[in-house]
Amino acid sequence: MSALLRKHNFDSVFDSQKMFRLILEAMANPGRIVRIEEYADKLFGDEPELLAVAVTLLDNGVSFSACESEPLSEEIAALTLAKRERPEAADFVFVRDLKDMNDAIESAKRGSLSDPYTSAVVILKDDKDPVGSLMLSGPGIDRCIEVPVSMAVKNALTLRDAQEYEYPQGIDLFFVSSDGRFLAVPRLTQIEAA
Amino acid sequence: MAYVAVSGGKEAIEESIRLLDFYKSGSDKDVDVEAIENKMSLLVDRVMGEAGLYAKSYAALALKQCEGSVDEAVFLLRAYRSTLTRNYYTNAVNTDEMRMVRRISAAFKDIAGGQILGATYDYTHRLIDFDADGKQASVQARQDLIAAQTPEPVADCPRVSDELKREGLIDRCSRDGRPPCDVTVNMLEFPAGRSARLQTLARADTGFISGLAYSSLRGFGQVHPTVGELRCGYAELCIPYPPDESESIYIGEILITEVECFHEADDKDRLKLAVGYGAVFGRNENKAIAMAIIDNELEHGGPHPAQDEEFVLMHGDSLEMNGFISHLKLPHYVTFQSKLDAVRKTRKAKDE
Amino acid sequence: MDKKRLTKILAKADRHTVAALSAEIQKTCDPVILKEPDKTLAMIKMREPVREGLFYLGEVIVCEAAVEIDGVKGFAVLMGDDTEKVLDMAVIDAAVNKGIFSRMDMLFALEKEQHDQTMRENALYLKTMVNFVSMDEEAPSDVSAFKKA
Repeated sequence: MSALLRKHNFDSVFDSQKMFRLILEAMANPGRIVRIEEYADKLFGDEPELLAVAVTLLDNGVSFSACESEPLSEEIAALTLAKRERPEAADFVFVRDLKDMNDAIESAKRGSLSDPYTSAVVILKDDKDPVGSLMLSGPGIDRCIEVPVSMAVKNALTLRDAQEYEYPQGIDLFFVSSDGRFLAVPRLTQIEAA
Repeated sequence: MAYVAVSGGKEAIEESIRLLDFYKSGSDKDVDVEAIENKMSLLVDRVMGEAGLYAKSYAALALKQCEGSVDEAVFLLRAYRSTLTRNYYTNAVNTDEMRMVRRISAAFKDIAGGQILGATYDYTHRLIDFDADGKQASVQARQDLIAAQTPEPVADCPRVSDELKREGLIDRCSRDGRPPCDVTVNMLEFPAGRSARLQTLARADTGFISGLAYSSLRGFGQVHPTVGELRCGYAELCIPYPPDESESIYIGEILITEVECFHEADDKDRLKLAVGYGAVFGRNENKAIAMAIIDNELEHGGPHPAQDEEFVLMHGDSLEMNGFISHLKLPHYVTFQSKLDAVRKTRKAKDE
Repeated sequence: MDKKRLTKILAKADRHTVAALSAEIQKTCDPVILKEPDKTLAMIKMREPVREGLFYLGEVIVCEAAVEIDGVKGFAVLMGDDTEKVLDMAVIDAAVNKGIFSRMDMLFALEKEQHDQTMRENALYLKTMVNFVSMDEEAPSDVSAFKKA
């Protein structure tokens, strides 16, 4: 039986622990780009980076949307047993095609005043090259940090701010690229005017 | 309460753990886990019930590891269970369709499906059998016995209470689809919902529950219930098929004992009977009966201990109660010193 | 055959029979492990007859596995910790989903044998069925006595 090949080589205990630490580092130090390619490489398929985030953070107690990407949705559901949901009601929204970005960000759950953690995390696949940079500030950042970002990240954050969430409501954004770069922008991270 | 950190016990502790082997080595005969599982199943059932984990060979192994201590075995199982994910929730188990191995009623002589005594110690003469040691029951003999039977179809055993519901003597409620409380995930709050109460009682210490039920029978409660039905049998477990929840898959069956106890409803409403419900893993009937008695007492309410929700539900958990009693052995040097000082001061003041 | 019937037959069959069925399937295709067989828990949800409400009786140790045969997934969950058997069951499930499972005859035979075994065991229990004879003429013997009263 152990003669069967494995589709994925991602260890559900040790690799997800290391991935979790990287995501935590990125969340705690917004603007710091962490590298997840070592773990994404252990997963097979078209979206191994998104899958790496999914198998680390999702389980049968949460819901997700893969924005109409059926193969990705099926794989995430099979590996994590998380429930498939509409994007506006999902705990995690995976955007593999940036054309879905606007809808995803506009409709994502913002949480409530008493339970702000019931908001959504939106994870976007972004392979566009950096064009310029943003100045970010907020919790976890020593005054300010300059981060080279792509147009997609700029647009995403502009759109996020346009939602005018009332604190502590809001959404958390992750940006991942095919070469394994991971950037987290938690809800309290602000863009400083250039 | 102040604890004091003490050091210097490392070698003593290591020796203490080694000494446990000394206690287990008075004989060259070993106890097989398989033997415990098959020949001490009532003990295994008790441990599974109080741990809230149906895993026979694991319970048997835990019992072997800790010299048969129910408390320690429950601790081991609960600790092990906390390392596992909980990926599935079964569909609501329909015990109407249980495969009966024992089924009796003290309320009625004739019941649909009949009274099936099953295997029970109720009718044995309580005389120690000095020849029991050395008697070998063999697996082959068991298989031969089954093979020698003429197949009999499993008959329907509708609930006794169903008939009484049809007569209007017991309230019939419509199906409540609300998701149950889970006391393993959320703290118990009072007043406790029925699902929290039943889950807590099902995993409570057998002795505690039995004692409380006994107190009720002796007058600290509603007194004398009647066992309307005791059903022991195999219930099928199914879960939704992961890719397509409209389908279900069978994952196995568990042996459970269910009891419904009938009581007269309170004085103003002598038109109906009240029912208490108990359910446990395995064949621990007395615990199931006790649970049904307490369910009714808690439903009824009142001044007696068995009717006090917080008293009953907060003090019955095997791990919590034994853990708290056990913690008293930890160094309480500072606290005790201050108590001693207070006593000495008072004496000194009195002498002066 | 629906999933529930299929999984019941496989769950009750012994591990060697299931392994043989899986091995046969693997002669004609290459299943790939999607989810490594592993232990997990299933929480048992019960319906109680007094208020017809739901409650959790306790957890049960189960093992689970998932495989893929040419992109078609198969899943299995089984009470206990036989991780090899659950993996074989997942292979069979994938084969059924892909439409390449050809041993229905074996399943029917197993089902009949299992049913027979259950009925024989049942006979043992029925031997303990009581035929009470009430020693008190007045005592109502069954529920229907209430109707007359």
